[in-house]
Amino acid sequence: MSNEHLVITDVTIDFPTPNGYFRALEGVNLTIDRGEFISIIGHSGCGKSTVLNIVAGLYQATQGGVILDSREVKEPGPDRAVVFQNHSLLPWLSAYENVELAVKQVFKGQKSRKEMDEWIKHNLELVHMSHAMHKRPGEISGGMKQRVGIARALAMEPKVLLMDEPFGALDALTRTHMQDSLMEIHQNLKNTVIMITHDVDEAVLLSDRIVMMSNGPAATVGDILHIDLERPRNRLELADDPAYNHFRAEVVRFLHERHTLPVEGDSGEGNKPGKSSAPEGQILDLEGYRGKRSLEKHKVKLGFVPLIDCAPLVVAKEKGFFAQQGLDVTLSRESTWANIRDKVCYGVLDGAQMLPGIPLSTAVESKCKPMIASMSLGLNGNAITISNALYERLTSVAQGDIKDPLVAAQALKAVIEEDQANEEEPLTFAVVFPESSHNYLLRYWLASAGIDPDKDVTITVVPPPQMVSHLETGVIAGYCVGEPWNTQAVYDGIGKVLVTSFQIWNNHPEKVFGCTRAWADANPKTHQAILMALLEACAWLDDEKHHDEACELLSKGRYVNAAQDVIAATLNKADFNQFHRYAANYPWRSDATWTLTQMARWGYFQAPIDLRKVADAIYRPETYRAAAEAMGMAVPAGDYKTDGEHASDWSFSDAKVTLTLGADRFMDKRVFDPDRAAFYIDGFSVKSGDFNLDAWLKMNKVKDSSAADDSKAV
Amino acid sequence: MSTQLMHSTTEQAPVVDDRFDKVAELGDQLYVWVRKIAVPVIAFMIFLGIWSASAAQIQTSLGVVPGPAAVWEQLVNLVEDHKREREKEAAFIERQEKRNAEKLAKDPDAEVKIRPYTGKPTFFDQIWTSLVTVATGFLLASVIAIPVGVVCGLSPVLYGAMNPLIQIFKPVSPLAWLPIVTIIVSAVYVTDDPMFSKSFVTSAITVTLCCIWPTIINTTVGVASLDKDLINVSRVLRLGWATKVWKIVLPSSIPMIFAGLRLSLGIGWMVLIAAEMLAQNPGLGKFVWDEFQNGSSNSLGRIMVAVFVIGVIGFLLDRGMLMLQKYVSWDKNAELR
Repeated sequence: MSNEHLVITDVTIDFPTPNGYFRALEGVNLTIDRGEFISIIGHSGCGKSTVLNIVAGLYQATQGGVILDSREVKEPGPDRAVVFQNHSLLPWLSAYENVELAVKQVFKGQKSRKEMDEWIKHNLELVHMSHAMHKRPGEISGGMKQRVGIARALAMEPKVLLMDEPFGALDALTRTHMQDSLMEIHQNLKNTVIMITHDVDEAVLLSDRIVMMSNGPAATVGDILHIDLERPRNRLELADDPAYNHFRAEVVRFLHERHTLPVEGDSGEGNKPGKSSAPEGQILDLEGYRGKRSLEKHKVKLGFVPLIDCAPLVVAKEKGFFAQQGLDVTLSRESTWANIRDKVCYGVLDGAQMLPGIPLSTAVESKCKPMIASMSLGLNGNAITISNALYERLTSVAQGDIKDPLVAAQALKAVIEEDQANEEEPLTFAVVFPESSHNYLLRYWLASAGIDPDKDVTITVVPPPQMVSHLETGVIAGYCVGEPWNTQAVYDGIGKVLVTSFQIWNNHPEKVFGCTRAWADANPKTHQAILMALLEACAWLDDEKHHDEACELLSKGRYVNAAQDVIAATLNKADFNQFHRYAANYPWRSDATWTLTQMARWGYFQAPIDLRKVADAIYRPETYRAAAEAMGMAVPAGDYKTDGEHASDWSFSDAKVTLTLGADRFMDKRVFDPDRAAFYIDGFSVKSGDFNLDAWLKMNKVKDSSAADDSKAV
Repeated sequence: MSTQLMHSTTEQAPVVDDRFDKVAELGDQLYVWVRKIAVPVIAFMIFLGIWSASAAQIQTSLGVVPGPAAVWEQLVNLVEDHKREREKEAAFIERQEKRNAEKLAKDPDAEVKIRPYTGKPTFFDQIWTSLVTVATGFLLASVIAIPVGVVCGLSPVLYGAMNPLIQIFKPVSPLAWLPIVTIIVSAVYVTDDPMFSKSFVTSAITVTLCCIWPTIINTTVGVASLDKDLINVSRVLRLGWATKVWKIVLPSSIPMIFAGLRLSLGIGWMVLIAAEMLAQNPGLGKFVWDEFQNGSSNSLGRIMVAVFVIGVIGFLLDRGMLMLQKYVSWDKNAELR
């Protein structure tokens, strides 16, 4: 069961005018949970009422639409009761009769006459109108009329209560009373409410979220402010509450900026230029008070590829960890890593689950904006799967246990030599993206047996979800991909898992959270909030108790869309995905360096680069550190460590912490010292012919081991 | 000291004020009485004075134009005539009954004939005939006009279809309708034992044709100007068409519907007099025409009596509609004029 109660998707509306169509709204998106109290605020004529009328069904959107409890809104109906600005009671009917008209219409045939009578009286009682229920609207005050209007709406038992400036026409004192009444009713009935208002205090006092609309024409949702003040709220106590006043200031600032910059904001992008120039002092004071309350951007769109290791994003969304940080996150499922790279690059996505190679390649790739990686989303999780036919050939020539990756690689070498002798086409292996860890792990494994991946086999790119079907049709002989697409092939009887990535490099780093550098600079608080939510999700995932629930979440169609037992099988496998333990989330700059060494090894770089400079620019442990420390999690002090020295769990300690890290052996027992990276690359016998050690050493000065800095591993 | 003084003044103030209030109240009542009764009465007196003075100056072929006194005299005559005629009728019926009774006493199987009294209709008979005719025509018009108006008001498409017809027929004079109606009624309304006389049907239909338009137009406007929010209320409630019309459309359009009805009735009454005059249908119009043709020395006075009576009846009909509106309307406080 989903929390998504009311979903407004991409609503655009054009009104015909004598001068052609007038676009009042464009691309309005909003997801509202059950029981939420939403205020819509904005300047006059910005289309607030139009949004409400579209939800009510009184207007039809030109594009997009509204879905209430999985059903599209096409016409008005009593499940979306409206409280109109000028009460709209029938003046010829008494208060009782006005409510009765609604009750009779909605509960015709469901309630007896007596039940209806009780229900009408109950609702009038709710708004404190019992004493005047037989009076006509002309005989009662404005506030009382509005109360009756609310009673009429409540009496329909609507799923959503829509209020169009309900208290706009009332005097200040009456308005205060009405707001208190409304809070009381909302507290008791837990209705979902959308209210339009001009009154900033009213919005902050009543709402869970304030939706601030940009100016028309083509108005859209400019910003969403989460008001996480505790309920019940008391207006007198809140008057001196810094958080309350902060929210108030945020709304006023938004309205003011929109007023002075009316041209801005029709793009729907949340980065308001005026924001950073706004007086920061006030906000900074509050940082200590309530850190998460002043995000630059609440509405965030994050991309993921359907793999087990998108779990941190899915869990953070579904378990409400994002929401707790004040974020309204939309997860966008992308089928290829190229999509992820391009959408993040062009700002369609704020950030995404990424292969380490994506941000790292932006160091030299000019067609992409510079990106950064601020968190690792986990360790391990890939495997090399081959077709059943190839597996049989390998077992027939294997000299030893085929479960040993080196034996398997040597068997493959024998098979390839046999094919070459017969002048057959080279075998084709698939990876998910050129600059992917899968590519480098596969090559590492192939090269360990002396197979040159660029000559002896063909390596092609296939998006993860399509791997299994490609293997089935025989287009490829094997692939390296993240789970669940290896286990899926085994389950479907199409292939065999030959080598896991853990076997190639124990606890190797996998996906990262990445975004563009410009986005990170513009939204530091939002960035930190995302990391905090992801960290919480990772810690949650680390607990085996949660695996069943995680399986259920991930197997949903809009996420991984694989059978639950397939996902469960991979999640519960030891040596597979590690989401949190072993400092799995720390974005070691040495991990970046390793990936860069492999990129260099296979000739990705045209000219030598300063590895350390690139790793420092793109991997951002300091951003991670701030988020993790805010969560009270231990973080290493240094950014580099040496890998390949430990065959089992070991204790890492530096100036700040002592942590248990996992084994970090490579299959060939090589040791990777980031300070000697150029020698490391040169040490591989199989590599791109272009590698020139001297040129690389010029760019990467090898440090004297005695002068190794404090970030060195123990 | 000053506070004490102020204190005592404030304590005494109400007494003084009260006395002023009472005087003011009396003054208000007097003012209301003067405005509502004395002013109209004085105005009417002035009118009578001017009439009386100027009438004596004008010599016509039928003698001096009658002044108020002469007209009053004729009114009395007309009442006398009526009384006499009723007595004659009573005597006639008595004679007829007596004769029939005698006939039956002689021969129980005898066929008795009851003939209606065929004497000349009096002024008051003519008034009654006119009232019945106008009521019939007006009711027929209302029964058609209100539903048509409601439908046109609710549907812009139907309004578009009806509007040209309404605009064309609205200004057509009864004098133009009358010949058409007369000929059609003569051709279509053919029965051996007519329930209504042809002249009655012709007059009533002419009234209908002339007084249908104001009600249609006003109802349409009233319905079309229905508060948009109230329409939205009915849409949100998903009220059925009938419930919507009955609970929302009609109550809110009542003032406009009645404005139309009152205009219609006024037009109907005027049209009726003209129609009766022209078509020689019985009624007040025929009375006026007959007196005009008659040309006796009393004729001018009698016509003037008829003019006053027509005016008074028109006024009373309007007041009647107003009372009906007050009864039907939900808003008892609205000022109707």
